[in-house]
Amino acid sequence: MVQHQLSTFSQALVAALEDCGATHVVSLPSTETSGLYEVLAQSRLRLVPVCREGEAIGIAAGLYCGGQKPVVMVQNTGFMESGDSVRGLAIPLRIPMPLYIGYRGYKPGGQPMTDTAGIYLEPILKAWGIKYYLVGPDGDIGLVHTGFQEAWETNRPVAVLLAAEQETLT
Amino acid sequence: MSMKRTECLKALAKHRTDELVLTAWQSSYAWHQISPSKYNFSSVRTMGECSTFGLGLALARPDKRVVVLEGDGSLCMNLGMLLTIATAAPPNFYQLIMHNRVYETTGGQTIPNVDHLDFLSIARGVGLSRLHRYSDLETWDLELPGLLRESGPVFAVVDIQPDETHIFSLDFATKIRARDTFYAKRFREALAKPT
Repeated sequence: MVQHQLSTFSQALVAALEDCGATHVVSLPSTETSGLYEVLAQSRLRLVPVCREGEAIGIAAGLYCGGQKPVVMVQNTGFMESGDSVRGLAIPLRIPMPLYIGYRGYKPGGQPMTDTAGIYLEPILKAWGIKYYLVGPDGDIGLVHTGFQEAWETNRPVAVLLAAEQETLT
Repeated sequence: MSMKRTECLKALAKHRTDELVLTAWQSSYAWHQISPSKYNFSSVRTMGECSTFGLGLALARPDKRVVVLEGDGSLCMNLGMLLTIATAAPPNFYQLIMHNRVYETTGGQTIPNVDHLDFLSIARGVGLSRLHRYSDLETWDLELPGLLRESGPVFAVVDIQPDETHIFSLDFATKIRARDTFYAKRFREALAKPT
Protein backbone atom coordinates (compact mmCIF):
# COMPACT_ATOMS: atom_id res chain seq x y z
CA MET A 1 0.00 0.00 0.00
CA VAL A 2 1.29 3.43 -0.91
CA GLN A 3 1.76 5.55 2.19
CA HIS A 4 0.59 9.14 2.15
CA GLN A 5 1.03 11.82 4.70
CA LEU A 6 -2.13 12.46 6.66
CA SER A 7 -2.76 15.83 5.13
CA THR A 8 -4.31 18.75 6.87
CA PHE A 9 -6.84 18.73 4.05
CA SER A 10 -7.99 15.17 4.77
CA GLN A 11 -8.30 15.92 8.45
CA ALA A 12 -10.23 19.11 7.75
CA LEU A 13 -12.51 17.31 5.28
CA VAL A 14 -13.39 14.56 7.74
CA ALA A 15 -13.89 17.08 10.54
CA ALA A 16 -16.20 19.08 8.27
CA LEU A 17 -18.25 16.00 7.39
CA GLU A 18 -18.57 15.12 11.06
CA ASP A 19 -19.62 18.67 11.81
CA CYS A 20 -22.29 18.44 9.07
CA GLY A 21 -23.80 15.41 10.76
CA ALA A 22 -22.82 12.91 8.09
CA THR A 23 -23.07 9.30 9.22
CA HIS A 24 -21.54 7.22 6.41
CA VAL A 25 -18.95 7.72 3.67
CA VAL A 26 -19.72 5.42 0.73
CA SER A 27 -16.59 5.37 -1.34
CA LEU A 28 -14.13 3.90 -3.76
CA PRO A 29 -10.56 5.15 -3.22
CA SER A 30 -9.05 7.69 -5.58
CA THR A 31 -5.68 9.37 -5.71
CA GLU A 32 -7.29 12.68 -4.80
CA THR A 33 -8.71 11.31 -1.55
CA SER A 34 -6.24 8.55 -0.75
CA GLY A 35 -5.07 10.17 2.44
CA LEU A 36 -8.61 10.30 3.66
CA TYR A 37 -9.03 6.67 4.59
CA GLU A 38 -6.57 6.71 7.45
CA VAL A 39 -8.29 9.76 8.88
CA LEU A 40 -11.71 8.19 8.39
CA ALA A 41 -10.61 5.14 10.36
CA GLN A 42 -10.12 7.38 13.38
CA SER A 43 -13.42 9.23 13.00
CA ARG A 44 -16.97 8.38 13.98
CA LEU A 45 -17.96 8.27 10.29
CA ARG A 46 -18.63 4.76 9.00
CA LEU A 47 -16.89 3.84 5.76
CA VAL A 48 -18.80 1.66 3.30
CA PRO A 49 -16.32 0.52 0.64
CA VAL A 50 -17.68 -0.38 -2.81
CA CYS A 51 -16.31 -2.10 -5.91
CA ARG A 52 -17.91 0.21 -8.48
CA GLU A 53 -19.12 3.77 -8.07
CA GLY A 54 -22.69 3.11 -9.24
CA GLU A 55 -23.06 0.88 -6.19
CA ALA A 56 -22.26 3.87 -4.00
CA ILE A 57 -25.31 5.74 -5.24
CA GLY A 58 -27.62 2.78 -4.55
CA ILE A 59 -26.18 2.20 -1.08
CA ALA A 60 -26.38 5.89 -0.19
CA ALA A 61 -30.01 5.96 -1.37
CA GLY A 62 -30.82 3.00 0.88
CA LEU A 63 -28.99 4.54 3.83
CA TYR A 64 -30.98 7.74 3.37
CA CYS A 65 -34.31 5.91 3.20
CA GLY A 66 -33.32 4.17 6.42
CA GLY A 67 -32.82 7.51 8.17
CA GLN A 68 -29.06 8.03 7.84
CA LYS A 69 -27.04 10.90 6.35
CA PRO A 70 -24.53 9.38 3.94
CA VAL A 71 -22.14 11.10 1.57
CA VAL A 72 -20.62 9.61 -1.57
CA MET A 73 -16.91 10.06 -2.20
CA VAL A 74 -15.54 8.99 -5.59
CA GLN A 75 -13.24 10.14 -8.36
CA ASN A 76 -14.60 11.99 -11.40
CA THR A 77 -14.01 8.88 -13.53
CA GLY A 78 -16.19 6.92 -11.14
CA PHE A 79 -18.82 9.62 -11.04
CA MET A 80 -19.12 9.25 -14.80
CA GLU A 81 -19.44 5.48 -14.34
CA SER A 82 -22.24 5.99 -11.82
CA GLY A 83 -24.30 8.05 -14.22
CA ASP A 84 -27.30 5.73 -14.55
CA SER A 85 -27.61 5.41 -10.79
CA VAL A 86 -27.51 9.18 -10.34
CA ARG A 87 -30.12 9.55 -13.07
CA GLY A 88 -32.33 6.71 -11.90
CA LEU A 89 -32.07 6.92 -8.12
CA ALA A 90 -30.62 10.08 -6.63
CA ILE A 91 -32.39 12.62 -8.84
CA PRO A 92 -35.91 11.16 -9.29
CA LEU A 93 -36.24 9.92 -5.71
CA ARG A 94 -35.25 13.40 -4.50
CA ILE A 95 -32.49 12.09 -2.29
CA PRO A 96 -30.20 14.60 -0.59
CA MET A 97 -26.90 13.21 -1.77
CA PRO A 98 -23.70 15.17 -1.16
CA LEU A 99 -21.15 13.97 -3.73
CA TYR A 100 -17.48 14.60 -2.97
CA ILE A 101 -15.69 14.06 -6.25
CA GLY A 102 -11.93 13.83 -6.72
CA TYR A 103 -11.07 16.13 -9.62
CA ARG A 104 -8.52 14.09 -11.56
CA GLY A 105 -6.88 16.19 -14.25
CA TYR A 106 -7.65 19.53 -12.63
CA LYS A 107 -5.33 22.37 -13.50
CA PRO A 108 -5.35 25.48 -11.32
CA GLY A 109 -5.41 29.03 -12.58
CA GLY A 110 -7.36 28.33 -15.74
CA GLN A 111 -4.60 26.29 -17.31
CA PRO A 112 -5.95 24.00 -20.05
CA MET A 113 -6.65 20.46 -18.87
CA THR A 114 -5.35 17.50 -20.87
CA ASP A 115 -7.01 14.63 -18.97
CA THR A 116 -10.50 13.90 -20.33
CA ALA A 117 -11.60 12.93 -16.82
CA GLY A 118 -11.14 16.58 -15.92
CA ILE A 119 -12.23 18.08 -19.22
CA TYR A 120 -15.68 16.48 -19.21
CA LEU A 121 -16.50 16.68 -15.50
CA GLU A 122 -18.04 20.12 -15.20
CA PRO A 123 -19.90 19.94 -18.54
CA ILE A 124 -21.47 16.64 -17.42
CA LEU A 125 -22.51 18.09 -14.07
CA LYS A 126 -24.06 21.04 -15.88
CA ALA A 127 -25.84 18.75 -18.35
CA TRP A 128 -27.37 16.74 -15.50
CA GLY A 129 -28.39 19.88 -13.61
CA ILE A 130 -26.20 19.07 -10.62
CA LYS A 131 -24.95 22.12 -8.80
CA TYR A 132 -21.30 21.98 -7.80
CA TYR A 133 -18.59 23.75 -5.85
CA LEU A 134 -14.86 23.58 -6.36
CA VAL A 135 -12.46 23.12 -3.48
CA GLY A 136 -9.25 24.11 -5.22
CA PRO A 137 -5.64 23.98 -4.09
CA ASP A 138 -6.34 26.81 -1.67
CA GLY A 139 -8.73 24.38 0.04
CA ASP A 140 -11.82 26.37 1.02
CA ILE A 141 -13.15 23.72 3.37
CA GLY A 142 -16.27 25.75 4.05
CA LEU A 143 -17.60 24.52 0.71
CA VAL A 144 -17.77 21.00 2.17
CA HIS A 145 -20.47 22.34 4.48
CA THR A 146 -22.12 24.33 1.71
CA GLY A 147 -22.49 21.30 -0.56
CA PHE A 148 -23.80 19.11 2.23
CA GLN A 149 -26.34 21.63 3.43
CA GLU A 150 -27.54 22.46 -0.06
CA ALA A 151 -28.09 18.80 -0.88
CA TRP A 152 -30.31 18.51 2.20
CA GLU A 153 -32.12 21.78 1.55
CA THR A 154 -32.91 20.91 -2.06
CA ASN A 155 -33.27 17.10 -1.80
CA ARG A 156 -30.90 16.65 -4.70
CA PRO A 157 -27.36 15.54 -5.39
CA VAL A 158 -24.91 18.42 -4.98
CA ALA A 159 -21.26 17.96 -5.89
CA VAL A 160 -18.15 19.28 -4.18
CA LEU A 161 -15.14 18.86 -6.45
CA LEU A 162 -11.95 18.09 -4.57
CA ALA A 163 -8.92 19.40 -6.38
CA ALA A 164 -6.84 20.13 -3.33
CA GLU A 165 -5.68 16.77 -2.06
CA GLN A 166 -3.58 15.81 -5.05
CA GLU A 167 -1.20 18.64 -4.21
CA THR A 168 -0.33 16.94 -0.92
CA LEU A 169 0.59 13.45 -2.13
CA THR A 170 4.08 12.36 -1.18
CA MET B 1 -36.83 -27.98 -12.30
CA SER B 2 -38.14 -24.52 -11.56
CA MET B 3 -41.10 -22.71 -10.01
CA LYS B 4 -43.75 -20.38 -11.30
CA ARG B 5 -42.93 -16.86 -10.15
CA THR B 6 -46.36 -16.19 -8.70
CA GLU B 7 -46.39 -19.45 -6.72
CA CYS B 8 -42.91 -18.71 -5.44
CA LEU B 9 -43.91 -15.20 -4.32
CA LYS B 10 -47.13 -16.44 -2.72
CA ALA B 11 -45.07 -18.76 -0.54
CA LEU B 12 -42.78 -15.89 0.43
CA ALA B 13 -45.79 -13.73 1.26
CA LYS B 14 -47.20 -16.47 3.46
CA HIS B 15 -44.06 -16.50 5.59
CA ARG B 16 -43.47 -12.74 5.57
CA THR B 17 -43.82 -10.91 8.86
CA ASP B 18 -42.38 -7.39 9.07
CA GLU B 19 -39.61 -7.62 6.50
CA LEU B 20 -38.81 -4.73 4.19
CA VAL B 21 -39.08 -6.16 0.69
CA LEU B 22 -37.40 -4.53 -2.29
CA THR B 23 -38.30 -5.75 -5.74
CA ALA B 24 -36.53 -5.19 -9.03
CA TRP B 25 -38.33 -5.13 -12.34
CA GLN B 26 -40.18 -8.34 -13.14
CA SER B 27 -41.07 -9.33 -9.60
CA SER B 28 -42.46 -5.89 -8.74
CA TYR B 29 -45.97 -6.10 -10.14
CA ALA B 30 -46.64 -9.64 -8.96
CA TRP B 31 -45.24 -8.93 -5.48
CA HIS B 32 -47.32 -5.82 -4.98
CA GLN B 33 -50.44 -7.78 -5.95
CA ILE B 34 -49.57 -10.71 -3.71
CA SER B 35 -48.16 -8.92 -0.65
CA PRO B 36 -49.15 -5.24 -0.64
CA SER B 37 -47.42 -3.34 2.17
CA LYS B 38 -46.04 0.04 3.07
CA TYR B 39 -42.79 -1.86 3.56
CA ASN B 40 -42.52 -2.70 -0.14
CA PHE B 41 -40.30 -0.69 -2.41
CA SER B 42 -39.97 -1.18 -6.18
CA SER B 43 -36.63 -0.54 -7.81
CA VAL B 44 -37.56 -0.04 -11.44
CA ARG B 45 -35.24 2.76 -12.36
CA THR B 46 -31.64 1.56 -12.52
CA MET B 47 -30.92 -2.03 -13.47
CA GLY B 48 -28.48 -3.69 -11.11
CA GLU B 49 -28.91 -1.41 -8.12
CA CYS B 50 -31.82 -2.97 -6.21
CA SER B 51 -29.47 -5.00 -4.03
CA THR B 52 -27.18 -2.07 -3.31
CA PHE B 53 -30.21 -0.02 -2.29
CA GLY B 54 -31.19 -2.90 -0.02
CA LEU B 55 -27.68 -3.12 1.38
CA GLY B 56 -27.80 0.56 2.35
CA LEU B 57 -31.18 0.04 3.95
CA ALA B 58 -29.96 -3.00 5.89
CA LEU B 59 -26.99 -1.04 7.21
CA ALA B 60 -29.22 1.87 8.16
CA ARG B 61 -31.85 -0.27 9.88
CA PRO B 62 -30.25 -3.24 11.64
CA ASP B 63 -33.57 -3.71 13.48
CA LYS B 64 -35.32 -4.69 10.23
CA ARG B 65 -34.80 -7.66 7.96
CA VAL B 66 -34.33 -6.52 4.37
CA VAL B 67 -35.32 -8.92 1.59
CA VAL B 68 -34.27 -8.13 -1.97
CA LEU B 69 -35.87 -9.83 -4.98
CA GLU B 70 -33.46 -9.18 -7.82
CA GLY B 71 -33.35 -10.75 -11.25
CA ASP B 72 -30.46 -12.77 -12.62
CA GLY B 73 -29.88 -10.22 -15.39
CA SER B 74 -29.67 -7.44 -12.85
CA LEU B 75 -27.14 -9.38 -10.79
CA CYS B 76 -25.03 -10.04 -13.91
CA MET B 77 -24.94 -6.30 -14.52
CA ASN B 78 -23.45 -5.69 -11.10
CA LEU B 79 -21.64 -8.82 -9.92
CA GLY B 80 -19.11 -6.76 -7.97
CA MET B 81 -21.84 -5.90 -5.51
CA LEU B 82 -21.49 -9.39 -4.04
CA LEU B 83 -18.02 -8.45 -2.84
CA THR B 84 -19.37 -5.22 -1.40
CA ILE B 85 -22.16 -7.13 0.38
CA ALA B 86 -19.71 -9.71 1.73
CA THR B 87 -17.55 -6.91 3.11
CA ALA B 88 -20.38 -5.03 4.79
CA ALA B 89 -21.96 -8.32 5.88
CA PRO B 90 -25.20 -7.09 7.42
CA PRO B 91 -26.86 -9.96 9.31
CA ASN B 92 -30.31 -8.66 8.35
CA PHE B 93 -29.82 -8.83 4.56
CA TYR B 94 -31.46 -11.48 2.36
CA GLN B 95 -30.68 -11.39 -1.36
CA LEU B 96 -32.96 -13.65 -3.39
CA ILE B 97 -31.99 -13.96 -7.04
CA MET B 98 -34.92 -14.78 -9.31
CA HIS B 99 -33.19 -16.96 -11.87
CA ASN B 100 -35.16 -17.46 -15.08
CA ARG B 101 -32.12 -17.35 -17.36
CA VAL B 102 -33.43 -14.60 -19.64
CA TYR B 103 -33.80 -10.84 -19.97
CA GLU B 104 -37.56 -10.99 -19.69
CA THR B 105 -38.37 -7.29 -19.97
CA THR B 106 -36.83 -7.01 -23.38
CA GLY B 107 -38.39 -10.11 -24.87
CA GLY B 108 -36.69 -13.11 -23.32
CA GLN B 109 -33.17 -12.93 -24.72
CA THR B 110 -30.84 -15.48 -23.09
CA ILE B 111 -28.35 -14.27 -20.49
CA PRO B 112 -24.77 -14.67 -21.77
CA ASN B 113 -23.23 -18.08 -21.11
CA VAL B 114 -26.16 -18.97 -18.87
CA ASP B 115 -25.66 -22.73 -19.28
CA HIS B 116 -22.34 -22.43 -17.45
CA LEU B 117 -23.37 -19.70 -15.04
CA ASP B 118 -23.10 -20.72 -11.39
CA PHE B 119 -24.12 -17.90 -9.08
CA LEU B 120 -23.49 -19.93 -5.94
CA SER B 121 -19.86 -20.52 -6.90
CA ILE B 122 -19.42 -16.82 -7.57
CA ALA B 123 -21.03 -15.92 -4.24
CA ARG B 124 -18.89 -18.48 -2.43
CA GLY B 125 -15.82 -17.10 -4.17
CA VAL B 126 -16.33 -13.59 -2.80
CA GLY B 127 -16.73 -14.85 0.73
CA LEU B 128 -20.47 -15.20 1.19
CA SER B 129 -21.26 -18.30 3.19
CA ARG B 130 -25.05 -18.44 3.72
CA LEU B 131 -25.86 -19.88 0.33
CA HIS B 132 -28.98 -21.63 -0.92
CA ARG B 133 -30.63 -22.74 -4.13
CA TYR B 134 -34.31 -23.54 -4.50
CA SER B 135 -35.84 -25.17 -7.55
CA ASP B 136 -39.09 -26.69 -6.34
CA LEU B 137 -42.01 -25.10 -4.56
CA GLU B 138 -42.32 -27.67 -1.82
CA THR B 139 -38.75 -27.22 -0.58
CA TRP B 140 -38.95 -23.43 -0.94
CA ASP B 141 -42.14 -23.27 1.08
CA LEU B 142 -40.78 -25.63 3.72
CA GLU B 143 -37.43 -23.90 4.20
CA LEU B 144 -38.49 -20.25 3.95
CA PRO B 145 -39.22 -19.76 7.67
CA GLY B 146 -35.75 -21.02 8.54
CA LEU B 147 -34.14 -19.01 5.75
CA LEU B 148 -35.66 -15.77 7.03
CA ARG B 149 -34.38 -16.51 10.54
CA GLU B 150 -30.80 -17.12 9.42
CA SER B 151 -28.14 -14.60 10.28
CA GLY B 152 -27.12 -13.00 6.99
CA PRO B 153 -26.03 -11.92 4.62
CA VAL B 154 -28.03 -14.67 2.94
CA PHE B 155 -27.71 -15.31 -0.79
CA ALA B 156 -30.22 -17.58 -2.48
CA VAL B 157 -30.80 -18.51 -6.09
CA VAL B 158 -34.47 -19.17 -6.81
CA ASP B 159 -35.09 -21.00 -10.08
CA ILE B 160 -38.25 -19.72 -11.72
CA GLN B 161 -39.83 -20.08 -15.14
CA PRO B 162 -40.06 -17.21 -17.60
CA ASP B 163 -43.66 -16.04 -17.67
CA GLU B 164 -45.97 -13.30 -18.83
CA THR B 165 -45.97 -11.17 -15.68
CA HIS B 166 -43.56 -8.79 -17.38
CA ILE B 167 -46.41 -7.49 -19.54
CA PHE B 168 -48.07 -6.10 -16.42
CA SER B 169 -44.74 -5.16 -14.87
CA LEU B 170 -43.97 -2.74 -17.70
CA ASP B 171 -47.13 -0.75 -16.99
CA PHE B 172 -46.49 -1.02 -13.28
CA ALA B 173 -42.94 0.29 -13.66
CA THR B 174 -44.20 3.23 -15.68
CA LYS B 175 -46.73 4.02 -12.97
CA ILE B 176 -44.10 3.76 -10.22
CA ARG B 177 -41.64 5.94 -12.08
CA ALA B 178 -44.30 8.58 -12.70
CA ARG B 179 -44.68 8.95 -8.93
CA ASP B 180 -41.10 8.32 -7.82
CA THR B 181 -41.00 11.05 -5.25
CA PHE B 182 -44.29 9.98 -3.66
CA TYR B 183 -43.32 6.32 -3.30
CA ALA B 184 -39.86 7.10 -1.92
CA LYS B 185 -41.34 9.55 0.60
CA ARG B 186 -44.04 7.09 1.65
CA PHE B 187 -41.48 4.34 2.15
CA ARG B 188 -39.20 6.56 4.20
CA GLU B 189 -42.07 7.78 6.35
CA ALA B 190 -43.20 4.21 6.96
CA LEU B 191 -39.73 3.38 8.20
CA ALA B 192 -39.67 6.41 10.46
CA LYS B 193 -42.84 5.39 12.31
CA PRO B 194 -42.61 2.93 15.17
CA THR B 195 -44.16 -0.44 14.30
